[in-house]
Amino acid sequence: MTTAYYAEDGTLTISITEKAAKMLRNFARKEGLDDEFGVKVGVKGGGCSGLLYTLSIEKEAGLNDKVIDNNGVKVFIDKKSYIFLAGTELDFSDGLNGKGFVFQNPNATKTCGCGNSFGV
Amino acid sequence: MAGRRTPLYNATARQGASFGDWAGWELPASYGDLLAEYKAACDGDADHDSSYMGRVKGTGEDVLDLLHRLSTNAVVSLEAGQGAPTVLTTDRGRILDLITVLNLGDHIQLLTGPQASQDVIEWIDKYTIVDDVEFEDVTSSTAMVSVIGPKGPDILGSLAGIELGTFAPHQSARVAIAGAEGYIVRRDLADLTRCEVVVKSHDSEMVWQEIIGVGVTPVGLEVSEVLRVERALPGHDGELGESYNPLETGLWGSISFTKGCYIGQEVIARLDTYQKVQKHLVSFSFSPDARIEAGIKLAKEGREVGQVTSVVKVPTTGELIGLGYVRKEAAEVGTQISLAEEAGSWAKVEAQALPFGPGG
Repeated sequence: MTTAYYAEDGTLTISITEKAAKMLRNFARKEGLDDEFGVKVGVKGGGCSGLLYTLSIEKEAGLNDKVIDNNGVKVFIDKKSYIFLAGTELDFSDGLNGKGFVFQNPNATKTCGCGNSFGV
Repeated sequence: MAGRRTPLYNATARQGASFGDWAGWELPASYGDLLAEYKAACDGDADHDSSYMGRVKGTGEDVLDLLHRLSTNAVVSLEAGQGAPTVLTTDRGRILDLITVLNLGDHIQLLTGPQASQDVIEWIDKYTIVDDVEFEDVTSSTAMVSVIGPKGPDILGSLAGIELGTFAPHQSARVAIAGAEGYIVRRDLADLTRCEVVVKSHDSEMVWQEIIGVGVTPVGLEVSEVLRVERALPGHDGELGESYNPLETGLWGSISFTKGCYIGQEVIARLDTYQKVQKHLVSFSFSPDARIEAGIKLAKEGREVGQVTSVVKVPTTGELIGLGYVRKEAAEVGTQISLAEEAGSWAKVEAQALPFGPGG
């Protein structure tokens, strides 16, 4: 069972591990963005199990995005995706068999083999 | 309860149709001469009211991208005028519906199974989170006429003022027939030419009369079912559904094995890689004395190996032919299988279904 992550005020949040935060800062720097960036996380239909994680580095949040600050990195998330991602931890799996960024999502009742797709 | 009627009910009734209930619709079963209808479809030109097939209009920038992520075939790059069959599958790789995706330029049109349009819309809606898409059921507000037979492209093409003979599979074009605007799509039944015209419901009688007016023979559901079963094509009523996966149904040509993930892909890819497809859709001939109907079980060496799903009588010969799913050990062409509850009678496998070819 994946643990759900809560903010200090007791609400479900999106958590970023230190390793994932470090990798995100590296990617942002490569894209020419220093401290002023956020990671946009989202969900769209598709993938083996029905829903697919999306991840991108953005300069600023979208108009209706929720903004969460975690481990020094801003997370931008649209409200519809938040319903599927509340309580999720974003980690980074490195090494030869590493999967890159990995979502540990407590809402997922099933996850496909590669970990990029989930169902609720 | 009487079934739904298509916008062409009155026009087909005037043509002498006798009606029957099928998939929730009250449809022309025949026009009185099955042999003439069958010959017209095979050798000349025949028209069939296929308005019972579901039609869904999709608009928005992400329609093709979303369908590409949700279904088996690669549809994201379809240009205006192009189309492709694709299968909506569950996350367990089971068939929800076999649909055709058409890029009509200003919007996308989905052709679904009968009574499936709402289910398809709801399924897509379930997986629409942030995409710019809108889907509208246009089954009732439009009508569809299939012109079947080798002379169909010339006849329909001259009415519409376009060259249909060179159309690729699933190619479509905007047309006007007798002033009624719509589109024509080429959706052959395997080796048998079929062009389908879709217009607004209120124009459909006029278009139907135009087609009938140049001597095209109307055919009912009985003959269209014979044409389908003869070619081992799965029907929405008997061979498509959550009991089957697309590989069992032989829908290889509607699956992309290289485009990446879609719902159910993991299961379908594994079935392919490890050759774990356990049963196949096949066509049958039967022993002359067999009393056969859909649902009859088939056995080999005392063990149940399958079931008949469709049975039709060929008008020219009076022979019964059918479709059914059988386990792989009994699915080779030429295999003779016993009817489980009728000693001495048999079904013989004539062909394995490959509706859209072997794929690749």
